[in-house]
Amino acid sequence: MRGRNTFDGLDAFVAERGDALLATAVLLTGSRAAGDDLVQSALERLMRNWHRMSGDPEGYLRRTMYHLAVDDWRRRRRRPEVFAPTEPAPQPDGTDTLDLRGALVQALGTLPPRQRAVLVLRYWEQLTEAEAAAVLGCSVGTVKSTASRGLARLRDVTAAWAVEETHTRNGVAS
Amino acid sequence: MTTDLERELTAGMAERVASVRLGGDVLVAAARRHRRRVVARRAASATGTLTVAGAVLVVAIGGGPAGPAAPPPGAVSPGATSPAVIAELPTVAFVAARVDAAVSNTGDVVQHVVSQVTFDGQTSQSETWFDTVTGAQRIVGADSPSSPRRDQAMAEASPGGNVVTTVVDFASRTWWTETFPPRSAGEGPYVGGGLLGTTPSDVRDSLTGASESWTVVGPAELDGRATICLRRDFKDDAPGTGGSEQIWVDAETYDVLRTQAEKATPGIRMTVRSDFSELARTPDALANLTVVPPAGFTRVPPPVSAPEGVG
Repeated sequence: MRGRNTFDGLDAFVAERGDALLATAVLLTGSRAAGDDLVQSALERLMRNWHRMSGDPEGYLRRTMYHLAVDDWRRRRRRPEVFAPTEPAPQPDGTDTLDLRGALVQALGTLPPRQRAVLVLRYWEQLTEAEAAAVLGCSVGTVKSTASRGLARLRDVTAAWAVEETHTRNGVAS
Repeated sequence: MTTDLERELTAGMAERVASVRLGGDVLVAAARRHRRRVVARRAASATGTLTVAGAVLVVAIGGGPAGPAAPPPGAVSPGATSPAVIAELPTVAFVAARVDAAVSNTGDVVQHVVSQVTFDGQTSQSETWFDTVTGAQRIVGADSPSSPRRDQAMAEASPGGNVVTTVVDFASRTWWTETFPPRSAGEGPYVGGGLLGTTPSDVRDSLTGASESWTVVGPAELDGRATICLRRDFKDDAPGTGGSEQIWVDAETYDVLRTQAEKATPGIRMTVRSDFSELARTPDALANLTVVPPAGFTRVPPPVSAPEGVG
């Protein structure tokens, strides 16, 4: 148990892990400003429960961020402001791979919150399906089906990019 | 099996966030948001338990705002605290006791706090109004330069009844209202998305709770008013991290007038300043407690917070 009214060690923890937390938050929200706000909200939740916490607070913060992101968006139906419809470049050029990646991240922001959260957990956090299910409080089957739908949507949105051709053209092993 | 699409998605995510760095103001803003929530909870019972407690305290220490029955050795007497005649500095304990008495005897007023955060060359400002009679409060502004600007108010629909919050979010040009059950047993509602601002009660708590860490700097003039300035310095464990806090209290009434905190970590410097005043409960002052959504803003359902026990 920690002290009720003090946050000893939180400064150092945020200094060490804050960038990583913000990275996840930016991917979940789609913008830097919204990511800052999400991290701030999660930190405030941590402070509320600080006296009950023991051990590493990072797991708590990450779970809180995912729950806040999914629940908040579900109710408010708010879309990140920065995402716009994804259009492929008119002519392929040497930046195709980078453009595709950008398009995928943009398309990520158009997904429903839970699909977005699952993809961030699986492909950014590199969690297993079971670990992602534990974070979101759902079954492994739900994670599988949600990830599958999310990837299918990304595939549809970016179909025009011809992934295989792009990779071949840029010499990336497939 | 990992597909090309999955690999490109992972790489795209890494590129998207490669350069993001968390600003030091986020933690400070979270702390102030937390403090705001605590204040809101206190506000929830301010017209009940706390007021009674304050009254009991006043009776216990002498029945009036004059504070302690006798000043500690070395302190000036209450009658001699006029700024022009401060011949020797009062002790921190004496000032803390007087501030405690002044806060406990706050009358029927609207407390007004203007707070500024300067971080990385940018400044944000917020204003808070708090009605000591009804517990209603309103906060306008942004927690920090990187936080969204909001206008939010909280008030009981009727004395002891449901609590209604109204929030205007300027970034999304939306607003919403939310109704909470009557407050009870220390579980008051939270006005939502905390903003800047602390209260004289917080300053009192800081002074009385750790008076040994403060020193009396001396008399000082603040916007034409005679004040007593107190200061404490702190240093965190991390190398190059530390700062200072200062408090200015009126030299006659011991009302808290200003606080200023400065904190520095390697490469980051932040200043948070709050100015306090009390307004008579005139119609104009009470009007500050009401949020009016701007024309053209869209009303939306209230957001839902994650459960307290997440994790």
